Amino acid sequence: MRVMDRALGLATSLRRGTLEFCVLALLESRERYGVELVRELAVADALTTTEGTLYPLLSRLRRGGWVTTTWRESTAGPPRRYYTLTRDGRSALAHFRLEWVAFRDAVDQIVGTEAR
Amino acid sequence: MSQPEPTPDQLVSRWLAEVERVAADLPADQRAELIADLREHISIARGDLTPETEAGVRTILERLGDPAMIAAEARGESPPTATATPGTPGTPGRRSRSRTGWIVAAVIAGVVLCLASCVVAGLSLFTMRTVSGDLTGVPTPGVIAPQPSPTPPPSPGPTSSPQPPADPSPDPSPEPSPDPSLAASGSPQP
Repeated sequence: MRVMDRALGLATSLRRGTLEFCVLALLESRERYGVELVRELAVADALTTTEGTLYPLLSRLRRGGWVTTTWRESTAGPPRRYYTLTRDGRSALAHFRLEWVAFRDAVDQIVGTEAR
Repeated sequence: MSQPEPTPDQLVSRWLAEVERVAADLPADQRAELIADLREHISIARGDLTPETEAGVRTILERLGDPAMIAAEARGESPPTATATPGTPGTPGRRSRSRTGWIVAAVIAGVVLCLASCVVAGLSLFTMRTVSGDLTGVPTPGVIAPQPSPTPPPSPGPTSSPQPPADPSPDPSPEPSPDPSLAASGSPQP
């Protein structure tokens, strides 16, 4: 049971370290509103816990200055909050890409999972 | 008396109220923002339900997840990133498992200390009983007589010491027997 707990904890830690950068990447091409982001991330099972936890994450990104939000009226229903990447967010994403590749390659080598 | 099924609106407001409750310790503006975001999510998702059913709304809320988990995420209890996180609100929280371990260890230590002090208290009572009436150390003539040389010298070892009934509890420190008269007065003085 303890081994399972540690495996789950590992997955959580890995996810926590990368999820916000996945959000930044999704916003790179265009702005999106909350539900859109949630749905796109939900496609990758390994990435999300529950949808609700995304909103505190978005809030953190906003407080940290990596995204900004604007309210837009919607014909389809209530006004929606659109998230946009800031310049700081773009450089954070670029930095993460370098870090991630280096990290991923190092782990792959040591753990023996390099792509052949 | 059967309760009527909650309406979708009631389900939503109950769920949001629960988030509000578990997030009570967050800063007010942060909590308000979170509730507003969740409310918006729910409205938009409900708008996509055609037709809207109670089951559909329940699914939306289930997919949002446990209010306590959302509050924990907002609190920053599970840290997102070690280095590159912008202004993480809370300090990374340890898993509650290790905290429970510390509590258990503290309780056990407390119990051990209590037992140890009981043993010490019992020992001192016991020791006092054996020297009752002779606390000043002045030897009683009638008692001291059989004491001299023939008897084995009082050694520090608990088993060879001429003390009354062997003390059952293990005493790590050697029995101090500096005063032979104390050792000799094994039985309570009348």
